[in-house]
Amino acid sequence: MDERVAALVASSGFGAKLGEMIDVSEDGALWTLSPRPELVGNPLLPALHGGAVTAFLELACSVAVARRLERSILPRLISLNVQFLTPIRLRNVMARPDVRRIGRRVAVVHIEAWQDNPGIPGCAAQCEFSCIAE
Amino acid sequence: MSVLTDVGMVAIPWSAALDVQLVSSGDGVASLRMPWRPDLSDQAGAVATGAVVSLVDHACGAAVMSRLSRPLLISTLNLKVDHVRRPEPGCQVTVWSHCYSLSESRAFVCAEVWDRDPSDIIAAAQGVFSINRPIAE
Repeated sequence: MDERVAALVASSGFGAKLGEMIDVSEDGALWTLSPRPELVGNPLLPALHGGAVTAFLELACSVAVARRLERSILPRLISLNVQFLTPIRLRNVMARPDVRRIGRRVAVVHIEAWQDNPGIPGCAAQCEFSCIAE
Repeated sequence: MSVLTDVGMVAIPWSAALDVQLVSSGDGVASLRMPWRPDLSDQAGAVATGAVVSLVDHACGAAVMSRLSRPLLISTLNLKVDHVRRPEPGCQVTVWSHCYSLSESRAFVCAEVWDRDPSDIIAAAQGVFSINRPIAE
């Protein structure tokens, strides 16, 4: 993983916790979550917890914004909208954050998670972050 | 207790990993609590938004479950969480969720999250759940 990306991921306790299961390649563009069983939300399938997948996607989006702003502080999440298309199974999850807009106050990022085929997303999220330094 | 068992749910590993505790549930309303922990905190030392969304998702599911007359598998169709303000560093968070409409196939839920005072929320959420097949006995 790129050093700057690794530093941003590990910059909070929660990021460091998820970061143990995350690899980032292609200069920060491709995020891969290799989930441990603790991320399971439905043990009957088993499928990952929607909240765990969402947290992974949010982290990827926030790091993408921090890199675009050339900051070492992650931007504050204002709002997140997530849609689940298929159950996310207990195996690698991939995602590419797509920074749609960076303004002076707000950044908008879209992201989709997939497992077997990038054309078949299992989960899609839209995030708005505050770009105002706290 | 860190897992829900009284609403027809089996142990949920991710909620257990976050130390999510059931405060109460019944008649379409659920309340859950998540403690502050260093590994759940953001850069400012407050409970991270990623942990909050996990708590909200679980709470909304618990509210739906509490309205069902028998255990059914449910799944989140969508969830919107507005993070109104950052919780106080080092403070636990509590969620209140309400399943205000339920049909055979869908449930609509709203939730609010606070740290110290229920009238001073840190997050508000709205979600739709799909109600699937019965949980096999």
